[in-house]
Amino acid sequence: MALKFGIEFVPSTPYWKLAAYALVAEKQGFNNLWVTDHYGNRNVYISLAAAAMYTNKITFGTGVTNPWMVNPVITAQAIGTLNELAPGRVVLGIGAGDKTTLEAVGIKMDKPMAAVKEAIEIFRDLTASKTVKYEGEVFKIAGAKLNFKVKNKIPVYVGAQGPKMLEMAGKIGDGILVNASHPSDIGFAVKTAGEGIKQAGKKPEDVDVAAYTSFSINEDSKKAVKAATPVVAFIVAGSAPPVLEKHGINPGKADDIRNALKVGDFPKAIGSVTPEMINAFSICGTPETCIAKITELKKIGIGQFVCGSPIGPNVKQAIDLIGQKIIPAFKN
Amino acid sequence: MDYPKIVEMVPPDKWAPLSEELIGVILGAKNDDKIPNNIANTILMDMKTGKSSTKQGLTLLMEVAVVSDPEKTIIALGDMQLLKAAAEIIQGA
Repeated sequence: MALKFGIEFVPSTPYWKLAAYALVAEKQGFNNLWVTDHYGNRNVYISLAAAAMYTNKITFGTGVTNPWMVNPVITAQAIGTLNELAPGRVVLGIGAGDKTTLEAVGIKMDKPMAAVKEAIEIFRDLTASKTVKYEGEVFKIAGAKLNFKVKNKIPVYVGAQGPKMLEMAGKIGDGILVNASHPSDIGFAVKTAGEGIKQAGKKPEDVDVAAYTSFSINEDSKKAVKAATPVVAFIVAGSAPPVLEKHGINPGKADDIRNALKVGDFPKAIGSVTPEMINAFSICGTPETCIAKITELKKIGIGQFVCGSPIGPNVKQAIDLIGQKIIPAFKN
Repeated sequence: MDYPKIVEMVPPDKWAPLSEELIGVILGAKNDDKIPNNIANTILMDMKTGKSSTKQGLTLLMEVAVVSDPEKTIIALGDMQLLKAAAEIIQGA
């Protein structure tokens, strides 16, 4: 089966730039567009609506939203409305959210597994025109119903990294967004999610496992690495010691990056990123290097490869390059 | 600056690749505030309908690219051997 290609955009630029990138990505053969959801950026649903209006084929969704910042009832309403704008081209991406981001707005990330599971159940029932009465651990809905019909079933992708969330994602998800780039992490994710898939009596092909990578491509390898380095610095700073040790990265070096970022010393943070860190937390380089690394992930069992930030030193050129050299290499 | 005149200097076989280059210049530019919404919406609709590589679409892209990043626009024209068009922009700047 042909590998699907997705692309991630952060709505930190005006709506029209995101829509233009979506158009370029669609033209270059991408299957999926994922837009991140962070309160500091433009609103994810309005950004997706702009992308929907100017595209014809590409499937798009939140990459990813969380159950806390927006009540799942409103998530169902927003996704249902988007589905009117682009019927059958909409998916929901939902995960537990980022603890630091949630704390910044006074939300305590309590019972993340239950919150994600319950939000998905509420979302699915509402978009299936059901009246929802729900008594969950996290959500209590007294009787809610959408006053419009969502014409098709909306696939739900679960953002997952840890073993429990991965297993649950396998059980309840139509797809899984695995926030990782290294084959060992993706291998672990595919295996663990596979347990959940088996428990739910599904086949592996029923669940679209997507490697949601930090990606950077350029004909000049050095330029690709340079673009990926700041993103990797943030990933390393946000990684737990066991994750770093698994990749042979000294936690002390990660502390150096974390401390530099805390005081806004970006040159020091970026300068502390090592080739091992780049290799562990990104896929970057020339088209040939990227094809080899994506091939490895495909063999492990992914169904979709997502080119996440930064995509390349020049985003438009990178999208064109992926469309011309990467996607055709995985057509069959 | 007479943008229709500059586009007249571009041979038709270079309209499509030039349109791609100019879209790249506009998307890569940092000064987003310089682009009014109605112009941005027209560019998006042109991209969707394939009009961005017509003479009319290219004229709009050329103007927006020059406003967004004149230096990179001139470089893009130079790279495509559209030296007369590049010279016209330099003179008009």
